Amino acid sequence: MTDATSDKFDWAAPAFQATLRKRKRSQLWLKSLGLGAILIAFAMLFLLVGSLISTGYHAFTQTHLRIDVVLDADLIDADAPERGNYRQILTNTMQAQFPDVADDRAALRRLTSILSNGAQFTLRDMVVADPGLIGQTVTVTVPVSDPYDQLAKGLIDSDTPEENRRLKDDEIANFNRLAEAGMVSKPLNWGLITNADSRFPELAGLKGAIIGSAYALLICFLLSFPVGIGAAIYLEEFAPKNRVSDLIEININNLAAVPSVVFGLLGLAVFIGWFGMPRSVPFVGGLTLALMTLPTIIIATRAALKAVPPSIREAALGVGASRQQVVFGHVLPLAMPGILTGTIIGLAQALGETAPLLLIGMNAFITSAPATPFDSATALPTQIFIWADSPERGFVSRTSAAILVLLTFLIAMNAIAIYLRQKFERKW
Amino acid sequence: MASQHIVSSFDHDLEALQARVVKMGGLVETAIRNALTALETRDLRLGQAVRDGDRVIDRMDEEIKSDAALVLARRAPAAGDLRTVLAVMTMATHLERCGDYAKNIAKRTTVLAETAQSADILSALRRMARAVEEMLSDALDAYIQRDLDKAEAVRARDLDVDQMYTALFRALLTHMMEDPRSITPAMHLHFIAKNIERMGDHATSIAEQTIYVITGEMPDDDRPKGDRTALENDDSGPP
Amino acid sequence: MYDLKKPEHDVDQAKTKISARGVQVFYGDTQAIKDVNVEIADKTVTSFIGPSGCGKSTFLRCINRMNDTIDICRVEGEITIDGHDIYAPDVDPVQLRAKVGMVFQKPNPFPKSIYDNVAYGPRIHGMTRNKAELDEVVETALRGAGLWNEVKDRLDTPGTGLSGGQQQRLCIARAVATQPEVLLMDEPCSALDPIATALIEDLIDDLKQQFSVVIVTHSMQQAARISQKTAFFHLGNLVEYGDTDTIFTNPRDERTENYITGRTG
Repeated sequence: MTDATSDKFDWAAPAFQATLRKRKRSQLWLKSLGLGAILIAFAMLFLLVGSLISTGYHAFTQTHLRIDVVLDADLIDADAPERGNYRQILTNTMQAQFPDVADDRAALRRLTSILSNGAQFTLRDMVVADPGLIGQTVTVTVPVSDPYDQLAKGLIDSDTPEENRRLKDDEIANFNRLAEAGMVSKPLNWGLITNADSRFPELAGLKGAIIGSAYALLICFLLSFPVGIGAAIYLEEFAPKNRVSDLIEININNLAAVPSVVFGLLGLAVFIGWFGMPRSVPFVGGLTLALMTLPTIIIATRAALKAVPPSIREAALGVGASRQQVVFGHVLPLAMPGILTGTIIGLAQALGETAPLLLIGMNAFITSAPATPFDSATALPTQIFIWADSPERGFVSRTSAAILVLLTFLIAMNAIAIYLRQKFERKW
Repeated sequence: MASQHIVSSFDHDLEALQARVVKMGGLVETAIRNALTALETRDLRLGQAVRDGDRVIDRMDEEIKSDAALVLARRAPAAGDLRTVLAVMTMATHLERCGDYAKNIAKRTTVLAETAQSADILSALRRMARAVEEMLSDALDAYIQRDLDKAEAVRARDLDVDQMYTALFRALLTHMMEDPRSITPAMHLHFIAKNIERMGDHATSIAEQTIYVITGEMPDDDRPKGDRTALENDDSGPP
Repeated sequence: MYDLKKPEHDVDQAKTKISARGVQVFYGDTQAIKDVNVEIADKTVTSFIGPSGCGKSTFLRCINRMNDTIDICRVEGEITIDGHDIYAPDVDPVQLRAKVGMVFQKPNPFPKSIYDNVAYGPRIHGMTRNKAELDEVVETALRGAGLWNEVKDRLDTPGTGLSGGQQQRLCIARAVATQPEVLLMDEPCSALDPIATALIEDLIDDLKQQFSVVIVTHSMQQAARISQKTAFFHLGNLVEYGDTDTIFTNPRDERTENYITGRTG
């Protein structure tokens, strides 16, 4: 301290100012790099969602044709309306619309093919429901078949050479005549979620997949939630800390990182192979997904239990509560928001899982929605997989639309998780 | 005080407090010596200087008390530190009383300066004052050095002072009986002797504070007492 | 008023409540407490002082077997309360903890209502037969903790909404509600302001009429103010144990002196 003045650091020295500038520069770099990373991530997300929407939005509307159908009593047997020749009725109806078309079978079939293959069944169902309609004229709105749907949505360009087009000039002309007559409409396509799967894109819907996924998730939740929480509570609160519990902990963490296809193989071997459960059913799907979700729930629950401050445990122990009373009376309620969040995220993961479901056969073609978890069904991701594999043009947009539906469910589940966390998060 | 406080300013405060009480002790010793010199040499100016000097001693006492109060309030001393602060406060009080006695002696010098006094009495007083001065100085040394033996020795020496006082008391009594005119100066001389004897008691108390600081306990009150004047029941008893 | 200087003159206070003989505590291979022998009197305040990590909290937690909840912790030696070994195999630690209440460093009310906080102990132990009795127990405990007048109109509001000092008194009320015989306090005032601290100290003074209070504190002034007996722990050893007034004016051991006067070494 004898000569402090000469040792004093010179804050204004150019050397120091230079390092200061350098520090500021590197901080700016770091900030802009971080910002850049986030921008890239957002761009990717927008690209994904944008491309899905741009291809998928067509599937949210469906071209319909409104026509008057004469339910010819000659073609329907009043005693057995379900066996009527509805196809001929529709052919007659279309012929009535286009009297100038030659009366040969091939031309008539091409004319009738404007209507969806499902139109005859719509008629049949109407008549079966109300046999009094036989012999009368009814106005029905039926979907048009896929090529005409594409045409109506502008996906078939009439400027392309005729030989490269799916619809010939006369077919387009016919459809345009119907459109000019005001018979063509494009309402929202509720069929996308109210119909089950179909070979015909204009009829295919996600009802079976949504219900199948819902059943699978329900089974998955009912199994993995109690088991996962039970396992986590035991490991966190009661298990002695020794080599065995360490081993279990490591294995649970490893299990969370195991590829989902392995769980699929396990489900296939155990549930279907050993226990002889049926293939393609949501019950087995749920069991398999539960295996996969279990480690996630255990890890999330343990983290939530650990996050409960030890002071609360001590307080309860201090007034003479038993371990069980401490856990169920204090720790678990406080950890619940964290546990629920982890569970929902685990279930969301399970909802999007494809590989294990493929292995247990939930990618079968099933045209009716399952009534119970033990009926064959598909799930949302496997349905997407099936549609993406289908050759019909109409399935291109439907695949994107199905992905959007799946994403909507995932976002909704994550939103619920965030809501729960914010609502029940406690300050102590 | 083998080790230092974690808070070094606490050490500093305690040292300052003790240094001041030692300095005060030095002033009191000088005052006693000067008061006796003034008496012997009938130096009125020196006597006045002693009387003026007591104001400095009184002020130091106040300063020590207020500093000690600050240490108590700020540091909340415990154990040895607490005893040190308490002892310093008590010692300052004792020294302040000694200063008052020296001032009182100097005051009486003015009266006694008018007549010549017996050389025997004066030298006896001088001896007694020297003994007390040394006791005081040793008591303060013992405190600074935390020397238990030295402090005990000071306590023991109070007996000598008491005995000197008893002897002087009798000598003065004889003087007064022989010559009634000497009663006034003899009374003054007696008070001076009594003052010196009281200063010896205060020096003893300071030594006892030292023992308290070192051992944590006040010594038992069983030391030998030499002042028997109050207990004697013959006709030569004190007035 | 009691006579601080001579607590042994009081017959009640001379009765030993807790007695520890040759207590050693290990955390795994580390020895936290080395051969502690101490007798804690009934209806007195005993304070444990010492530097951090000296084992005073560990020893305190031996008295209600709170250390049982730590797997690697091992306690040797004998601790008796009223002559009964609390580490005997037939002793249920859960029941013991109801009898030996504990208040922690950080106020830790349950995230429940004030009423439920206090009623928790009596409820789990089935100490009351009906709601009216429980109400009475809660009121008595809150009065005992000097909190009744402040909270009687808002018993159903969360305990976590109280101020720090009130929370700590709520924790004391919660401990008192199970009618303990011993109250252990682990630095109960370290998170509180001086006013709240004074309120708690005043409360401790009242509580010692009912049972013995053992308090771990880092404030030596607090130990000197509220306790009749003081134990000084250093590096797992009980260095000195005796009357508080002796410890704070004239400790025998140099380590005690150095610690309480704030010296290095």
